[in-house]
Amino acid sequence: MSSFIYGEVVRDATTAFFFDGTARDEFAIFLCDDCGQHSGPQEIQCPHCGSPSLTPAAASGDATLVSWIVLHERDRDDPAAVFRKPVAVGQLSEGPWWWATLVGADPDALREGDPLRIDYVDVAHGERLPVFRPAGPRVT
Amino acid sequence: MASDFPRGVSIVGLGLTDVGKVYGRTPNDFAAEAVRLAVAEAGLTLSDVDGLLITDGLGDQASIFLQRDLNLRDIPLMMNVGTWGTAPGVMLETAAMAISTGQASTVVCVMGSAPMRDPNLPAGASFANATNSKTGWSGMKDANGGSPGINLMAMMARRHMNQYGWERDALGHIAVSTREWALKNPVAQMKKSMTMDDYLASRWVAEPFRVPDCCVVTNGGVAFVVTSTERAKDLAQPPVPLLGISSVNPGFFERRHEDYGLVSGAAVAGPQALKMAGVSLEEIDAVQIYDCFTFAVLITLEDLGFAKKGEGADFVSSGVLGPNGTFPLNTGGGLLSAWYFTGFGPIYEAVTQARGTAGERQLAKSDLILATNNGGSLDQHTSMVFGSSAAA
Repeated sequence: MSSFIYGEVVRDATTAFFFDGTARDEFAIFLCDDCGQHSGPQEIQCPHCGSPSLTPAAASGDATLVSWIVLHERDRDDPAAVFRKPVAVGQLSEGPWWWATLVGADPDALREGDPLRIDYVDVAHGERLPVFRPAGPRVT
Repeated sequence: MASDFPRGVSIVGLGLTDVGKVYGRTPNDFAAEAVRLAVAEAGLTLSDVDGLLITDGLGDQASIFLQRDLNLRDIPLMMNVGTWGTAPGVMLETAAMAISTGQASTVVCVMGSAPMRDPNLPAGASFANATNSKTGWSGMKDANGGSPGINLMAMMARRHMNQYGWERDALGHIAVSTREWALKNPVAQMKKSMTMDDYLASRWVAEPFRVPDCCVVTNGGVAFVVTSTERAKDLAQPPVPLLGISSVNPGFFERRHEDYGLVSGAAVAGPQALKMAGVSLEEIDAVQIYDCFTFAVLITLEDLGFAKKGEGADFVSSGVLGPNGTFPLNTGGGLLSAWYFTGFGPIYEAVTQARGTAGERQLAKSDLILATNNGGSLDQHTSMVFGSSAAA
């Protein structure tokens, strides 16, 4: 099977806590100290109440498929070949949306609402990245 | 905002450099030439210019150093407008405000862009290289498929398709009809005709988008000159009055939002701009929609009210588009097939049609033209209504 190509990501001061999490298979989001709602790890204030007081929290890793695209990329091992790489927007069970490569899925069988699970991949010269995987049959 | 806000302001000059695979020039070099062309076309000189509004190009950025390059001294209005695709609309809105208040009298809005630096690199790769990064959250976004722009808009298109149940081939009708218009525009970058079969045989980039669903990549520069309609009557070109303008910025920014991919800022801005102009949708003679990607046209047609929400695909597939259709849309070949300088494209073609100087593609009636700009992935929007010189 073709191996997907992942871009290298270099950590900085604002992402260090997140990549510390991915290194131990943990997906960090934020919990608002004021309203108690969750938001994505890249927020600088709570999108629900506006509070800047956010505390990192571990997400469950469960998500559902919101939308997706299928990238046509060159195969790393065979430059003449093109492989189809799905990228998904998933809604984490805590609420925030997240973009990630969708690994191990049939790109022609995807449906909105499909259950997903966060997994992680190691990337040479970069941080360990979260990806989505299908998490079993669709809940209808 | 007062409903009569932009009255009394017209576009009086256009400037466009050579566009496309033009190498060896900087964005500011292109921008300076575009300014000189636009000012001269208006029958003005650089010494008349007291307002300069610039927007960043891609790659090596056009910049406020343009003022120095043009040797404009002590001008009261100068800024870099950074709202991506809507920047030209926002610049026009800003110019209209400045002229209305007396801050400035003659404002030039300009962009120079040179994303293609290496003749050996494909245009798409050049564009991606100009926009990608590796570090922090922006690097994370790139690694996760959140860039380049095609991925963002394709993701929205898929959500719209899922919600309203249409087939992705509908987008081909937009690409094919826009190409037909481009063949009537001598400066359009795309010179080859494209049938629906050609479209369906074209390469996928990010499903549901194929190569022809994406705008061209352009090196070059473009500018327009804004002044009061009163003053415009003594100048060289027929003035094209701005009758209405409205910016509404949804600001999805790729975060969770119920309207993500389903509704754009045109749903509010379009009716507001029409109301300001005092005209109805039915009176509009031509529509110039910001077509960075085909889907942007489909959703904007719905939001402006030309098709009901969810029926945009049926509308674009019904045979009304193209030079032989009944719905004049993106008559210069759009960003898809002519040239891409963000929101300058729809404005430039609106002015050209309103002047009656569009040559082979000139519409029989072009007295009221609705033009739109989008920025980001439908994060920003500006709608504009232009009149003909007779309305000035």
